[in-house]
Amino acid sequence: MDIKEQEELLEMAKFYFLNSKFDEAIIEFKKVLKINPLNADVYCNLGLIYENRKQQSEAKKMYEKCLGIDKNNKVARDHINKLIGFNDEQD
Amino acid sequence: MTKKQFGVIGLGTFGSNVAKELFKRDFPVLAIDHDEELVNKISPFVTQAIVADATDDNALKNAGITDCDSVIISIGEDVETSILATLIVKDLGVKNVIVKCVSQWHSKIAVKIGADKVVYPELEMAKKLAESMVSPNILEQIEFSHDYNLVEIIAPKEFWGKTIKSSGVRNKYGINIIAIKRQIPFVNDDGQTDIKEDTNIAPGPDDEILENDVLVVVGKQEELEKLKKI
Repeated sequence: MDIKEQEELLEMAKFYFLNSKFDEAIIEFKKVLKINPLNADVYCNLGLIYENRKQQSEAKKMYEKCLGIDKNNKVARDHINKLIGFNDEQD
Repeated sequence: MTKKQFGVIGLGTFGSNVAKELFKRDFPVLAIDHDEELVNKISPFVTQAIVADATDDNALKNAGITDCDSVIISIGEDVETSILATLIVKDLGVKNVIVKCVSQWHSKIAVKIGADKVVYPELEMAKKLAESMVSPNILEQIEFSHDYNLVEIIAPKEFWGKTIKSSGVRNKYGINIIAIKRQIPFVNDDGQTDIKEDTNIAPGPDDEILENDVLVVVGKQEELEKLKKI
């Protein structure tokens, strides 16, 4: 696994993401997944992009993949809870 | 100005959540139920929680219900108790009494005996859910008046990249955009990328509508129906 290449691609992907260039961000994020299919951060970011595009089921799938790898990912957890209308406040 | 004080009678799921939400917003809340277990459970989340019979006027008076500006009666499952409690609370002089109803008959009786407002959460939720199933681009709909509605709608493709003025939303559809909600990517305190919502309240005619924006619009029902079909 080429860690340096992965980091560079991730940096590029996040640059596009933070500038709302989501089509370009998706291409770069998917390149990272080819090198490392277990990168939880990438699945979370793809989830955020799909959620922003109101593609709910795709977004949910990505958050689930992220949480399958990193169950403590707070961003993915918060967003998937919001998507399915689940409120984990004390009952 | 003194803070409004609220009372909630009936601490099932609906009543206890209303009580907690009011208290979270820093309002004093008096919570009442005949079930000691429910009262103990809500106690840390409200100003005062008391075990009392909702059909006993003295018990309600002693609990301090007359000090409340508004009382929510949330005894849905037992219509008779709900009606009696409504009557007592109105008789005790509480100005604003809101009753959670479980049927149309329940709400008709509640109004007849003086309820100031009735809510029918199951029917309201059912309507919302049905609307969201048939119009997935509608995120929220609030009835303003008989003719006018406020709707949160995903910006139709036709409007992307146009300003409010050039979109013709007002001339063509006769509706007004009162807010634009946009998702903004950012880096959170943990260094993780995330997306948050930014709301442009009262946007100007030169403000642009972008892909994935959510528009909050007000208009006549029939005009909004046209917009939904774009």
